[in-house]
Amino acid sequence: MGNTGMPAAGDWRDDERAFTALVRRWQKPVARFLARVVIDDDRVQDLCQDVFLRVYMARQRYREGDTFSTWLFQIALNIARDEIRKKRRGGGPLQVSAAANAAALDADLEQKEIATTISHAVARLPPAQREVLALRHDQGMNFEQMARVLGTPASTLKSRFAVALNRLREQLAPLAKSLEET
Amino acid sequence: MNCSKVGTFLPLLVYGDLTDDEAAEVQKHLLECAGCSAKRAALVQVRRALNDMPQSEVVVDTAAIAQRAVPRSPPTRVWRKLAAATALAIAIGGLALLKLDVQVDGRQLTVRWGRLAKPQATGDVAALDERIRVLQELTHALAADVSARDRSRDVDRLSARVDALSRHVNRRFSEAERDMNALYAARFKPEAKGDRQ
Repeated sequence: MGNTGMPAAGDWRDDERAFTALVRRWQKPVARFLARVVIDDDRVQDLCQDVFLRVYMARQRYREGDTFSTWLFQIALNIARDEIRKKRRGGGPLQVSAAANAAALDADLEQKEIATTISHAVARLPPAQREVLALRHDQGMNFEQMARVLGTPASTLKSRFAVALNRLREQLAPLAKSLEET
Repeated sequence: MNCSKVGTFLPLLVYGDLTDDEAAEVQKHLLECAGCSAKRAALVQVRRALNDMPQSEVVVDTAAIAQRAVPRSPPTRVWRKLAAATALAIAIGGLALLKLDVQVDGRQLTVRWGRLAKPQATGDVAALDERIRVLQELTHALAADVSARDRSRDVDRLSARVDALSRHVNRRFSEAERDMNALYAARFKPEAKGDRQ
């Protein structure tokens, strides 16, 4: 991988195999981002497919030397936002990750409660805070990279991230207290 | 640094996003503040919980992507040529339907479309005769007017000549009168002088 996040061998824009390698490299991070922002595991597979379809369709517009991850997550962000808009129009509430609930069944009591609580807490965050959380926590982007993806100043994103984390902390506090007491 | 400001910095501290100076200030505050230290510990727990959140497996179908993308691939040269020829044929047909008429006359370009106006047959010969008769009358009236104007000009000329003759006659009359007076004086004045003596 180069510093742009591209596979070293072959030009993915012309070579099907190189494109497949690129998808294998990025499908998991993109799926994680979508799951965190859209909060609906049932849709993640389809949305992820849409992201890479759009990447494939727009591959000739990608400029050599641009940071690939920035370009890729801009596409993923647009798809996630479209999905949230559709859900809002449909009036349905955002579903908490089914995978989180399923995994919680296998974990011990403490882990189960923490997993469920954090899933619900993340689902209650506004989408803009979930986007920042997903890019900073899950993708490990710094705030300058995030500013390029989201088109928002880094300083704004820093305070948005702090607010999101403090909200999650506040919502986990009762659970932490009760676990301490038991 | 107070607790409120430290509260906004703590998430950034946990993720290593503070500058060295900011981090040092926050750490100094944490040594003295049990409440903020507890918040920091809770944030570390949040970070761990976020890490532990499971993720469902996703496998993107690249073959399906390539298949879906094929119909939208850019047209080949043959298709482009065919499309261009069709567009040209449609354009020519459209112009023909519009009955476009382009004329270049000197430096003027005239474009007309639609059905060209045909010269309308009079059909009614009587009406045409009537129009010709009116035109003839108008022509005669115009000629009479011109003739009248010419006559007026002749009268003016004659009048000027009469005036000139009149002046000439007057002059001749004056001369004749003067001659008569001279003759009269030459014949009768000496006798008149002698009679008085």
